[in-house]
Parts: sequence; structure tokens; C-alpha cells
Amino acid sequence: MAAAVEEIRAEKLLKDLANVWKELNQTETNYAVVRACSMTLLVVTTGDGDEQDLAGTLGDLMHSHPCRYIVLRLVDTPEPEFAARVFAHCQLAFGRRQQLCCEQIEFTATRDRIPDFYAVALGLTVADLPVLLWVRDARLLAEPELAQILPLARPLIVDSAQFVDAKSGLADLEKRRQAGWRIKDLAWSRLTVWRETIAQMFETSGCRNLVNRVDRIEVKGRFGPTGSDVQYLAAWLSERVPGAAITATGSGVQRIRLVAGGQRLEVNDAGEALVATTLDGMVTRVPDPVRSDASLLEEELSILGPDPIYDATLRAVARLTH
Amino acid sequence: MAQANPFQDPLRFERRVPSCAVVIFGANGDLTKRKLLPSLYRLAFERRLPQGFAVIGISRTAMSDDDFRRKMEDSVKEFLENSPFDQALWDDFSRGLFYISGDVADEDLYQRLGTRLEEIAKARQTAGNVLFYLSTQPSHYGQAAGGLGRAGLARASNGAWRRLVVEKPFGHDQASARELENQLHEHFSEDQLYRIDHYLGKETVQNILAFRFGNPLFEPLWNRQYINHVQITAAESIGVEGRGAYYQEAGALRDMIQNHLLQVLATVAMEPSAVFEPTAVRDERAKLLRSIRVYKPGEVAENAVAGQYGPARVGGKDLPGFREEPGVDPHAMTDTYAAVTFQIENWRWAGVPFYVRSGKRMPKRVTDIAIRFNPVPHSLFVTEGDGGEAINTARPNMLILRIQPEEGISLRFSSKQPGAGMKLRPVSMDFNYGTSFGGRTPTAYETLLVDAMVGDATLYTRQDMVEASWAAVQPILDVWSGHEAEQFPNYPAGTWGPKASDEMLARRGHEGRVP
Repeated sequence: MAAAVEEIRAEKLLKDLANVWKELNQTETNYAVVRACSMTLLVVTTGDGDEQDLAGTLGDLMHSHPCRYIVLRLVDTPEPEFAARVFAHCQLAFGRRQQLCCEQIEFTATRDRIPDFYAVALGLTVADLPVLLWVRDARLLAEPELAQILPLARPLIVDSAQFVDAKSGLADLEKRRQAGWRIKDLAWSRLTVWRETIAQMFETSGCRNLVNRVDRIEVKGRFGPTGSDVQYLAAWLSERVPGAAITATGSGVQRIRLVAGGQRLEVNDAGEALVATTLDGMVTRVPDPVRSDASLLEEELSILGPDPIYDATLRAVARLTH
Repeated sequence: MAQANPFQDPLRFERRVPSCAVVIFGANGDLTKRKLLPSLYRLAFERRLPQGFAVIGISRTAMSDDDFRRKMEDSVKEFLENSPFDQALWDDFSRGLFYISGDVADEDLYQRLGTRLEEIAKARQTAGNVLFYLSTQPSHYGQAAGGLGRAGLARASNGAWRRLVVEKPFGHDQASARELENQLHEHFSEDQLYRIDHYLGKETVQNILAFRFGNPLFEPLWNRQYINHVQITAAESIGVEGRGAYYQEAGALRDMIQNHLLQVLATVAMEPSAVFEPTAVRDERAKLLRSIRVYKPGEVAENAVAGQYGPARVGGKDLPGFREEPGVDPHAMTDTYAAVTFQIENWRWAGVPFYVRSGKRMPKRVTDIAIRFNPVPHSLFVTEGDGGEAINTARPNMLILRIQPEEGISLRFSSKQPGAGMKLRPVSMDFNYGTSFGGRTPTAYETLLVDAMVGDATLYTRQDMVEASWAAVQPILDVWSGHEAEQFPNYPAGTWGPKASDEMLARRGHEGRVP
């Protein structure tokens, strides 16, 4: 159902979508087809070979956040290219008698056709529902062409774990935040389990009174240069306990150690779990399975309004790295 | 006073459960195995439990801590719903499981429990907070509460809390409910008591409040001016399934309507509270329940119908009648079906009947609430019937809140049939939870256990609510206790109940729905 360059208009694609639904309803005899949509998710990606991966992510995501997906795949071809196709993702809804379906419009374009994409995409977002933009390949953020499509949505989803230079990448995110974008970072969602474990440590009777006595914090990563994860945790902790001295090294968080009133509290990575050690050596194991992009997106999409703790952390990252 | 925890992030983290120990009486029973331990384990899996946490099981069976842990591991593996079992997590979680054997009637049990709780509070950092959970036979509730009180376990020092969760039934009738209240209140104050009604923990029941008070569209219509009547149905396709002995003493009116369905009715009909806070919400529920008309004996026959299923062949299978079920007295007078017309005597609902019915061995399992709106005051769309009479083709609107199994909301309205002329046909606009909120929803017990540990009693029943709901059904029970044995059975298994039930609605000009 690919369309030629000159034919790509929003009305035409919406008509194609209507036909997809008509065909689905006519051909599907076993299960009722239900179209579901709670928002528009624009996805910008590059490269070949990740079609399956992306399809899997969007398919998983539709369980909790059924969307109209508008995917822009940027390609490097010698000739200008701009093509589009429409289709539906369908899954049986949790053992029921219905097929839950979400619609997808997928564009393939060379960078010079980004303005064309922008013009068409403006007419494709679903009225009265939130619109979000996920820049799946973080390298694109550095490309000036991308600036042309950023105005399509204020919530901007990235994964700063992909940043080669985390310091400048996060500084750039903070600038965008100040310019009015609502930044959502999958790398930040990955840290929820660490942050929640720390919070829970201070809920125990023995540790509750140590909160204001935290004076030293160490965030240690496994690998070389300081990554966005370690920077985020260090910034978050500095925001939460402003008086504490913080050291942060590496990327791929391995350990957080807090010293409070001479007592040592630790959270360590142990593969698919975190191990929290509080007073008197009491140990708690917290499951930390590897999270898929869909699971991380699910967390981010569930917060459509402001996220003050993340915003303050991103601000603090910029402050700490200066 | 404890300092605020600056690391919390309410937007992303689930509600905080404080450090505490949960003491389960009846730890060897079905509820513990099927619901309580799987729910607690799942909460641990979801990181909802604090690091300072322990469970102490109590029952008569002699067992060591390790025996109890092994037994609970088997139960969790068997009854965990839609969730993976993580052995390493279980090993960690089960280190906080302990067991004490003893008889609830034995005062020594409570002394031993007190000593153990002190040890565990130190070893597991539970801060001295304890949630006692009575999952025993109801006849033991008073003894257990008394034993805890006399051993000084109902109160704690140093600001720690003690709470007591009680499973339904809250009495067998109005008198026994009051007696139970007196026993519980001898040692526990009302704010320490959490009477669990798992129906209120269901996501879809909770959503009634969100639907009503979070959407300005419907609330202005939610009154006698626009609503004609309401039908609440809770039908089960199964029979008594091995619970014959218990069920024949209870019946549908006691087992379902007195508690679950009257709570649902109260949720549908209550006034909005000023704030979403336990006391305020429960005040409104209680107020509504107190507004239900209490029938005089002479009014019961007009407003309530009892039924009992008889044998039938359904789908090629012979189903026994209730009296043929194992453990059931062949002359049992139990109502396996009950339908009641409740009338709410307040300004909002005066004159709007609430038809509530529940039964076993119905054609399918379904729970829903159908709100039937008034017809248009003057219809433009009239056709002529066979006898020349005018037929209004505009059917009244119907709003259906589906609680199970396909959770959702449907709105029925009239639409023009395509083609010439102006013929109207009812169509349905459906919202299905599964299509908007996927993933796993917490079970009612997970929700309610967290609420009790957090100290949020919004979804728990209060004594005045229990009394008001007993007051509403007691006259019916009294009249029914004089039933003649030959009246039953009065509906075949696999049908929608006795004919008298439809007749009860027909007397008010209404028609029973087939859900």
C-alpha cells in the first residue's frame, strides 16, 4: 500500500486508513475488530533492520497505550525519497473475543524531505488527544534537520543512554526543557527501581531518622566515562539531600552508597535484582528485570503532565556538570 | 515525629506501605493460600512492600516456620494470577514469614504472639506496626479480638499502629452483627477496624466513583428527574461448588446482597463527598444506606423474591438442583436467588426503584449495573402498531456499567436507521477497559491489603454501614424464614431465576434485563 512521492497528502492517507479498517472488518470473521486510540505517538528513527524491533515495541505498548503511530524512518539514499504506507497492528485483547487494533502510518524519507513529512504529519495527528514525539535514535537530536519536526509535539521522548557524550547531551535536553519541551527520558525510567529502593530504605524504622543526616553519597558505575544514568542519580540525590558530598563515576550503575550519621546504607546491582543493605546488615532483594523499551515508554506515557522531580533533576545535572 | 522522606516520587512510585507485620489468623485456610499470600508476594514483586516487613501465620496445625514457608511457597506458585514466580525474590520474602500454632481460644497463644512480635519488630524492623487479619471462621472473630485485647496487643506504644481486618460475614443477621460489633469494640476502636468487602476493591467498582465524580457530563442527570430505574445484577453460572454446607446457612440475600451489592448500590447512588478521603466517602455511603426504605413485613412479598434452583439439563449436561448438591439438606429452604426492589428515600432518588438481584446457576457469570433513563417527554418518532396504536420508536437511553467479566461502560441511544423515513433503532456506544488500559490490574486483595497497611479505609465497610445494610434486609429475611418447603425449587438451573422476579418489575411497569 505504498504511495508515490507526489501523492502523499494527509487526506489520502486517512482515506487509506479508513479502507484498512473496512477490509479488516470484512475479512476478520472469528473476532470483533476494535480500533483503539488514546494518543498520537510520532516516532523518528533511522537505519535498517530495526523494523521488527520497533514493531515489537509498538505492539507491546498498545496494550497499555493504544496510539495512532506515525513513524518516520530516515534513510540515506542517493535520490530523494518520500514514501508512506498505512497498516494496523492487531492483537487479541487479553484472552477476550476481540482484536484490539491500532493504526500506523509509516513514512520513509531522506533528510531533504523532512519538511514534507512535517506538513503531512500536521494533518495526521488525532484530534483532541495528546501528541508525543519519540526520537528513537538519539543521534538525530544533533541534526539540524530534526529541528523542523520538533514543533509537532511538546512531550519529547529520548533515551539518553544512547548519548555518546552524556554531559553535553543532558545539557542540550535541559536547554530544550527551558525552551518549553516536556522532556521524557527512558534512561530516567530505568532508574525508577534504584530510586524507589533508596526511598524504601528510608521508610524502615531504623533509617527513618537518618534522612537528614546523610552527609556522603557515592554513585558508582561499572564502565568508563560518566553516563547519563550515574549523572541523573547523582543530581537527583543532590536535589533530595542538598548538604551531602557526592561522588559519581562511570556508567551502568553498580552501587549507590549513602553514609548517614556514621551508618552505611547500600544498594547494589545483582543482575536481575537490586540488593539493599540497611542497618544491622538487613538485606532486601528487589526484582529489577531488564526493561523493554515498551515498558519504559509505558511509564513515561503514564505521566502526561509535568514531572517536577525529573525536571528538577535535569536542572541539577546541568548545574552539577558546570 | 518522623521526618518526611525526600526520596519519594508519588508520580512514579506506588503508595508507600509503612514498615509493619501482618498477623494472619487462619493461616492454614483457603483464603490465606488462595488470596492473601499470593497477593502479598505479588506486592513484594511490584516493590510495594517496605523493607521492614514480616508475616506471622497462626493456626491450630503444628508447623515450624520452615514448614509454613514451604507450604506458602506451594500456594503462591499455584494461585499466583497473571504473574511470574521469582525464586530468588521468594527466598528473600519468605525469610520474613513466621508461624505460631495455637488455638484462638487459648490465652497463652496471645502471650506467645506478643513475645514473637517484639522479636520480629527488632529483627525485621517492622516498627511495631501490626495488621491483624482474621481469616478464621466467623465464630472465632470475637475470641481472637478479645484475646488480642487482653494480651495488650490491640494497642501499641511509640506511635505504632495496630489494625484489625475482618472478613465478611459481619454477623448472620442484625442481632448477631451487633453482638460482633460489641465484641470487636471491646478492645479495638472503630478506626482500627477494617471490614473487608472485596467487591469494593475491584477496579471497576472503584471506577464508578471516577466515572460519576470525574466527569461532569453524567452527574447532572444522576437523579430522579432523568433516571427511571436501576437494575443491579450479579449472576453466577456455577452452583455452590463444595460450599453447600456453608451456603445453605447463608443464601443469596445474605451472601451477596446484604454486603457486596448494597455497597455497589451505595457507590452508584451516594452523594459526592467534599473530599476523597476515607471518612468523607464512607459518611456518604453510610448516609445512602441509611436512606434505604426498611420494609414492613406486609411489604416484603411485593418487593422481594426468593428463588432456589432445581435440577436441569443444560448444554447436554445434567445439573443437580441445590437440594441435591453435596452437603445440602434435601429440604433446605435456602435462597440461591434473591431479587429485591430497594427504594431510596431521599430527594435525589425518591420514586426511583433499584432492582438488585443475585443468583447461582444462572445462564452466565455477569455483574453489571444498568441505569435506565426516562423516555423523551414527547416523541416525534411514532409508528403505528398492528392495532393502530402509536408506538414510540425512540427507546429510553440506558447506561450500563459492566463490572465483570468484560469490564467497561456502554451507552445505549437511538439512531436513525439508514434509508428513507425516520425509523429509530437502539445502538450501543461501548467503552472497554481492555482496549484502553491493558496490562495487569491489581487484584481486589492486593488493593485492599495495601489500603489497610497504609491506613486508608475508604474501601472498607464501617459499622454504621453494616448496620444500615442489615436493617434493609432483615425484614426480608424474617419473612422468608417462614417460607413453605414446597415453594422451592422455583427455577431450573441455567435460567435467569423465578418468574416472580420479572413480575416484581412488571408491577412497576418495568422489564427485567437479560444482561
